[in-house]
Amino acid sequence: MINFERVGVIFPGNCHALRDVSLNVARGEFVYVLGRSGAGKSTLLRLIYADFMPTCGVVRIAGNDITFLPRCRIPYLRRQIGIIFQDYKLLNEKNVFDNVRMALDIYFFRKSMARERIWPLLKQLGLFELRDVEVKRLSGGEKQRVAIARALVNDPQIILADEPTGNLDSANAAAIMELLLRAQVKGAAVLMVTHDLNMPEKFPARAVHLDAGRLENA
Amino acid sequence: MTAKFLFVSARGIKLFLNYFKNSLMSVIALSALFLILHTAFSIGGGISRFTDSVARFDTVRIYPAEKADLQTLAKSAGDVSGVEAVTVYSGKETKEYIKQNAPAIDGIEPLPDDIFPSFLEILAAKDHQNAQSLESMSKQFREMNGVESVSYGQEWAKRLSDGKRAINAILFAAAIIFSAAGILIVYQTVSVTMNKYTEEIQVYSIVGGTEVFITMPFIVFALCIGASCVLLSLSCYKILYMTLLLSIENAAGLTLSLSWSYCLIFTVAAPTVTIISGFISANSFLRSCRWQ
Ligand SMILES: Nc1ncnc2c1ncn2[C@@H]1O[C@H](COP(=O)(O)OP(=O)(O)O)[C@@H](O)[C@H]1O
Ligand SMILES: [Mg+2]
Repeated sequence: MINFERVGVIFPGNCHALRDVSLNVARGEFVYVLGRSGAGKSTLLRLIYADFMPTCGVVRIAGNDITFLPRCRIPYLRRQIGIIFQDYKLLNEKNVFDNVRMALDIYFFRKSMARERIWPLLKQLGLFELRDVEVKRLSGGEKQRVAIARALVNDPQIILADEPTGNLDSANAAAIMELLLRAQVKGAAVLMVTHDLNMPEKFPARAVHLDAGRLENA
Repeated sequence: MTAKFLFVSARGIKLFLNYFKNSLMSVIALSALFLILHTAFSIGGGISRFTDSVARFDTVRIYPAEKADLQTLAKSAGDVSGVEAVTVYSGKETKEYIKQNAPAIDGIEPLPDDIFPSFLEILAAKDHQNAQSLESMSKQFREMNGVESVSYGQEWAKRLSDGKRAINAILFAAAIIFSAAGILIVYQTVSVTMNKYTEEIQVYSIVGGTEVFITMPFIVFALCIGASCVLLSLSCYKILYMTLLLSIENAAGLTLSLSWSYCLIFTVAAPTVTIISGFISANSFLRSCRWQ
């Protein structure tokens, strides 16, 4: 599903964010990406959704070499990927339903059709009662669940989570982990970035370590 | 297809309304520019039409060489195509003509008749009463025997056509400059509006919205600006015309109303220019963005 071959990323200013990274993640696999701040964890995820291209090496996502992916195909790649951020990236002025619906807007779904997809998901995530509440009035844990709903609504094959529990207390973090693990069980490849080393202890799974851009299997 | 069209149009119009305060400034600025352009075109066109109607090119004068026979000349001049009538003025008649038309000039009476020039006055037929036809007629007269010189107001005709060319050049330059200003205004407005929507654009980009999907509402937004400017500037011109230009028109005998072809071209061109400008702006904004 995700295949890195000797990937290097050099940012302007000769900043080596990734060095010689090789990594394989299969369908239905859950992988922790651990490492200190500045180790290159976010860079690794951004490569997967083709936010920029590797300086050297090959990144293949679902069989596509992203370096040779035409610009106009990138959105179609991203439709197979659900992305979750530490800062949620939700629109505070919109309500929960409309935030999740943005992921269906790109397919020009009518409201009734969007409802059929979104309501069951909101029920699963315990957000159904909150569907008409503006996001700015939600707690951090609720916001992150909305972000997960938006990431899951298109049944992605890959889920990328960049420190999704970074802003949450341990009870909320555990709830988010449950949701990500449930998505993995359904067959998605899940990559979760965290610098919280307790997480792999509580929810054991494969973990890889990034240290100054170098990858080590833990 | 219709669902897509409706969705995108609705979003574009919503953008326009949501950011009405923002877009209103652009609409007003652009409409003011266009109003100046309309006024320039109407006055320029009015002056052109006015000079055309004042400058009547209908007669040619042939001054015969000394001792040429006026009657033979008159006969052969009458055979040239486009000639309606030929009138012969002998020296005596010229003297009478001056006495009648300029009674203030003293001392004409004792002068002998033959020091006054004799000439032929040629009246052109209706469909030959313009500078080009008179020029080609004059060319044939000059080639006839016994002709000293021919005149139909060449100097004036040249000055008129130069003047008209200058007016057209100025109007053309004004149209270009104002279009450029319009492009910049719309470019900037779309850019500022997209900046305010950065978060939304970012989300759509993350969930896999195509560039067309993301930029189209902003292009519709640019179209809304263009269409409002067409409406506003043409209505303002109409009001200006009714309140001010109409009285000038009546006083000066000019026609200052805009031609239909101008209005049509403007109505098509202005929104097209804003769409193109919006397209370029939206795409360059998208290219310059990197999401963390
Ligand atoms: N757009 C960029 N331009 C230059 N340097 C960058 C850019 N993005 C990240 N970096 C650098 O790359 C390194 C890795 O960053 P990142 O992947 O964000 O680390 P983290 O593991 O904390 O997520 C850091 O040293 C950071 O300063
Ligand atoms: Mg990071």
